[in-house]
Amino acid sequence: MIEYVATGCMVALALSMLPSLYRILVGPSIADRVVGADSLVTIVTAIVVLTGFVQETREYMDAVMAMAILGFFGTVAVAKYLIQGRAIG
Amino acid sequence: MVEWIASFCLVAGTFFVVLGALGLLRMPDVYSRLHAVTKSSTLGLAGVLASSALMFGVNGANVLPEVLTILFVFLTNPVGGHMIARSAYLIGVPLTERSVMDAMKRAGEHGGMDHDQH
Repeated sequence: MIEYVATGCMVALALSMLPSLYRILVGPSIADRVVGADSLVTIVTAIVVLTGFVQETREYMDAVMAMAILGFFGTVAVAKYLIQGRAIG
Repeated sequence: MVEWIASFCLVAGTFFVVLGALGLLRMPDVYSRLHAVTKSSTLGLAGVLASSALMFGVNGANVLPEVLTILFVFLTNPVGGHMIARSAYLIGVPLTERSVMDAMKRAGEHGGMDHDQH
């Protein structure tokens, strides 16, 4: 049963990626684009978890951890770049 | 029974993510959009991961990756949202006209905590 629930949730999550894309494309400031990209990383992580549900495998959990960590460091790097003009140091 | 609880967690997590996407579309300025997205997507991803941990943990799988990812998301997503909001304020992204106060303005033009850059 949970495969069907996971498939429906994947459709809902894919639809909720559209506002993030809208913010990345037309967001009035650069901070809006960063917010859209951050939200997009979170939604894609959730979709990868649900892909593991549908295929009944555990192979994707390492990818999920890596995506959570990389999303956070990307956000921090862009925020520091916006303030300081450089991302490292 | 466990399948029902896992399905409930899954639907709840998806519901929160969809609510955050609606807030991203509808809110008036970048700070309120950030407020909507950061909180709800944290809880949404945690719900989906908790559902995965329930569903695979019943069959005896190792659920340490889910637990670690939930902990990491709960620790880092608010920090990332705070950093985006602070950098947006410091580069001068305007607040909406409907906002009633600006608490950072009293702390000085550069926020008063911008370390050793100015």
